[in-house]
Amino acid sequence: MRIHVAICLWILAGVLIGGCTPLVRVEDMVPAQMAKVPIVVDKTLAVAPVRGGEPSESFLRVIANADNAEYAEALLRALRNTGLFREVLAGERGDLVLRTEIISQKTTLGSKIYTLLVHYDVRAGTNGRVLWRGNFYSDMAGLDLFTNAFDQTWLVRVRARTVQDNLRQFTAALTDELPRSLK
Amino acid sequence: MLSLSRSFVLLGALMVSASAYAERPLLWLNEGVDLNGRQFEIAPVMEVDRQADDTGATSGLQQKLTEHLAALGVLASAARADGNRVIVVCRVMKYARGSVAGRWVGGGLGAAYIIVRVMLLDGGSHALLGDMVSVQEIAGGGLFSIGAEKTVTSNAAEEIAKAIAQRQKAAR
Repeated sequence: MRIHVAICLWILAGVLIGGCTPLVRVEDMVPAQMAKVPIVVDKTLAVAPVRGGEPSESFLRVIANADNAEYAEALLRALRNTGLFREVLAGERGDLVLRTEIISQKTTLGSKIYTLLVHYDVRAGTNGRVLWRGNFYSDMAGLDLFTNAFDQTWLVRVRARTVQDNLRQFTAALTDELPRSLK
Repeated sequence: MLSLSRSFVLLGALMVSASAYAERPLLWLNEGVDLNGRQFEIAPVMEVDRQADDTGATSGLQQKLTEHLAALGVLASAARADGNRVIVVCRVMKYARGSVAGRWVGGGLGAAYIIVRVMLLDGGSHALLGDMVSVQEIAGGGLFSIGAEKTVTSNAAEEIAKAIAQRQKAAR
């Protein structure tokens, strides 16, 4: 009886500790700032609200996915860091409009692998014509449960790094390809 | 209150039931893409994870996917580049055959899993038509999970084919 109570209390303690774990910080999702390129695209880029993500207001935060607001904020910061555009702002009105859709994000519960697939496209602000588009995949593997039994922050950090990798791929491709497609 | 032994049995049952992890892949389609009436051709499955190729997971996935698409009646009959064809490009991003012993212990040890990224390309222009990720995992079950490395591959092929079929039906 006492053993059962003790086991239950340990499990409850672990859940409560994990439940109090702070969510991933947006700055953890932003790729390390590279050397800024000179403003190549002398236009404003409006970053439309991200679609497809899920809210993180879940008790089981360890398996909650990246939500739209967090992703949008990280996206804004990453794009501003590139220095590619004259101005990057949130909204749907600009010379160019970036639309982002989180196609898929999944976590395996056993091996703790987080996968992320995101679609991005840049459209002309005047007529909505697609000027550039791309899909990017990222994943990151985890450690086994027994080495991180109560460290639910670990999975949160892995998710942040996966988002960071996806944004890095996106901004690199955009910097390389968009100026050419605008010519 | 349950005895200690019964508690472990219940815990083991919960682990087995919760350990077969499979999510139905969501097939994303580009704007204006209609898969209705199109035939599918499977490109050679490629692996990013070297282990997948060594264990035959890539060939297994290709074979199973071919069978499932043929059963759905959408497999292209002969290689020919035209706009009616859709090329299915599968890349095994991660794969692990795991171990029975690890799956008996549980907690993610010995988990067998496969992660496949699937891209649908237009047979003529090779433009990207669709995209999705299939994630399959078996993380527990002990002796009952013998062959899990083949099961996850088979499950992935089945769900990819079903996702394609769903999109075709939705277009009708």
